Amino acid sequence: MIELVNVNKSYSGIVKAVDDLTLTVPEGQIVGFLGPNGAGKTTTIKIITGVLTPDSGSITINGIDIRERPLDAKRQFGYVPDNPDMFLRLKGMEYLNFMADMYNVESSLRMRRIQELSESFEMEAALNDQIQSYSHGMRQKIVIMGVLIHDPSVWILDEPMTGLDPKSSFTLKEMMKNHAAAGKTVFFSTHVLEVAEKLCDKVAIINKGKLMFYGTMDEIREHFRSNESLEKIFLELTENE
Amino acid sequence: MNRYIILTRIMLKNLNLLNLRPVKSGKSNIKRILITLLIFAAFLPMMLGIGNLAMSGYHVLSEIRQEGMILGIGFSLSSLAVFFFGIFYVMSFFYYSRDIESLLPLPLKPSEILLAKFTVTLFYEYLTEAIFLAPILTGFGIASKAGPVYYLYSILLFIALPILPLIYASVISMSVMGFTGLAKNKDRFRIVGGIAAMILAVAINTYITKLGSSSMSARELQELLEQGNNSYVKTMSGIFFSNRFAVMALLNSEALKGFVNLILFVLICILFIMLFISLGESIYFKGVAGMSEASAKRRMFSEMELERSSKQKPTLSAYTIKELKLLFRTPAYFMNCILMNFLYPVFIMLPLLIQPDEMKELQTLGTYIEDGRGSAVVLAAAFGISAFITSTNGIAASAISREGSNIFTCKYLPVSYKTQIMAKALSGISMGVVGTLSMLLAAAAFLPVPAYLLLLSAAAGSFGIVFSSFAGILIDLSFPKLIWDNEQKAVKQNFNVVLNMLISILIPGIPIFISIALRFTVWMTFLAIALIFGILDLLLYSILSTAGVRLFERIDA
Repeated sequence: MIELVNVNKSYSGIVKAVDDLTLTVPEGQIVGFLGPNGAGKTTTIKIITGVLTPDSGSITINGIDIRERPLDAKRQFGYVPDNPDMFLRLKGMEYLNFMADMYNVESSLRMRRIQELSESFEMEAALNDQIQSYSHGMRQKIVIMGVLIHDPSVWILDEPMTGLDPKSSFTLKEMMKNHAAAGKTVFFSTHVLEVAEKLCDKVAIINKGKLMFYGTMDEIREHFRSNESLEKIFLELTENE
Repeated sequence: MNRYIILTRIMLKNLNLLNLRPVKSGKSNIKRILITLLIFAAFLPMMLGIGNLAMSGYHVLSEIRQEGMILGIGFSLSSLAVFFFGIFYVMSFFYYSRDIESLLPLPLKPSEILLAKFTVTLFYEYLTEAIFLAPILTGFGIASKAGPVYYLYSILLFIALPILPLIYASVISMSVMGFTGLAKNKDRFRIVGGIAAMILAVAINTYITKLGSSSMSARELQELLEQGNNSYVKTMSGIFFSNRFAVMALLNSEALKGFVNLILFVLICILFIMLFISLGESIYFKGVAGMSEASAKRRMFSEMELERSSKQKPTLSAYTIKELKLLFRTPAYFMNCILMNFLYPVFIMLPLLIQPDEMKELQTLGTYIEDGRGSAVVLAAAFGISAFITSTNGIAASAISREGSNIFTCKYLPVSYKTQIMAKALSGISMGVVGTLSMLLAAAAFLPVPAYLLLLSAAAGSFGIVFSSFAGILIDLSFPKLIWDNEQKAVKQNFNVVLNMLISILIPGIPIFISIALRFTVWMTFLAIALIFGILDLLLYSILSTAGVRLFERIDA
């Protein structure tokens, strides 16, 4: 479970990137995080993961406050950042083992997970090469694998589907569903409204740092008393008001 | 031409040469500007000293009418420095730089990109020149009571001087890198190519110096000097032959002869630039194309390999190994941070092998060491050198900066900042140990140093290595340079590294000074070092674990 209460963040004291955001991502659900470019999605995710410190407000992950007990809180989640271009000069295998060492995953367990994950993402043949040689989609896959290697209960994914081929995208979506079905938490941002519509139990729509709407797809339709697609509703909600 | 100017302007803007332009608006800019000023202030005594030397040299040499020697030596040494640094700069700006990928798809001629990059590199060379050549030119001008034309010519020559040596450096680098296309593992080739260019530069360098020193006997030189009339200048030749015209231009700045020489110098520069452009047009893209390609084997892992590589490691050592792997595999980091540590023995041995006479002098040094006083000084010096070597590799002082835009990864990993700081410091310490050991081994091979002194030097050195690494990472935590588009900028164009070098010279200099001034014995010297730097190292450790962690927390990702 992720809980944000009255979180504020502004850059250089002027531009409000996150404006009094309160949001609870419950266990057992997939929550999609939507909003136009520059709405504050990535900033919010970075605040949750401890990459950025908020100006005010509290963030807890599985009940652990990220600012009071940062290390314990960080062990609760796995985070896929929006840009997978990191550790490019490590080999895929070295990266996975580095991540496993950071999260203290013991040898036999990590070996099994590396095998499973590289099979499901069809990365067995690439692990011997430097990440530099990977395509964008493969980099995305290796980062996702690095996150899943410690089997975190909370998944926080920033645009995870970008660049993935249809099969990997399908695999990831299935994994997200299974994870939520096992009573754990999935929180991800996306621009692809169809994905959100099909995959999410709930969606949170954010614009200019403010939460515009948070609820299930049915609630959203009821709220707008329409049978319109999420795309239309999204466009209306985030239009310049 | 127009596109060349636009390109150059964009690149210079991107460069933030003096670190003065604010990257983000905020209060830390004042700190940044202060730091830059502080570093310039640190160079000021050196510049004043050089200027002073030029002035007093003028008074002595003008007696025998050989004052042109000062300018000649000034220009020659500056050219050498430009050439040597040029190899590094060219490698990083022309080849390791990331902007290449966005430039290649644009409808630009190779020469346009090349010339823009060349110009940007020139600006870096002006910084080198400013410290060394500018004081000589000014000192000479003041001493000779030169008129405004002299200063005008000086400025023009200051601008034009680095062109020739930088073209040499570029051509060497481009010739080596032209073969990149043939290489399978491009990253590794770039590293090997960098080493090859460096060795070529060192070899040419030594060859020139040897040529300069042995082509003339002492008697011949004396006769030449007695001729007066700045006859020395006329013998200036070698690859920087055009410097001769530069000196003549300044010496005769009030006459037509000076003007003619200036024009000659400029014409030579233009000619070389044209040659450089036509050469570059044909070979530059060969080395650059596919710069970002990486080799891939796409080979399956065997069960055994998987098992071997999946051994769990403690966080600290896993993190340190990660740091070292990135340092060894990234060409810009390897060239700047790693390679030098292994090259010290070569640098010591090469001149000795070329000039065997100096071996005899080393033997006298041996007898000096056997004397108790001598060994105390050697110990103190070894300690100072180990701190200095560690600071020149720049690993600790750029440990945070090197993360660049990926600094956020340090923030979400469940690893305490203290562990991360220590892992980064450890990577610097381990390469400092390599550098110090290779230096000590080289010394042991050539000098009759007793074994106990070597061991004692290594022990004392370890205090210096830790000191320099801790100080370096503390500086980098305070002023991380996270915004760069080219790895070279994180290590070489990083003032934190320079600042740490200054600190690593000044503070370890204290015990050396005390040991010499108070005529300490070897053991007293060792005790003084161990005591003072043991305490300093512990102090730095505790600062890093408290204030250092807070600084890390505050870095905005």
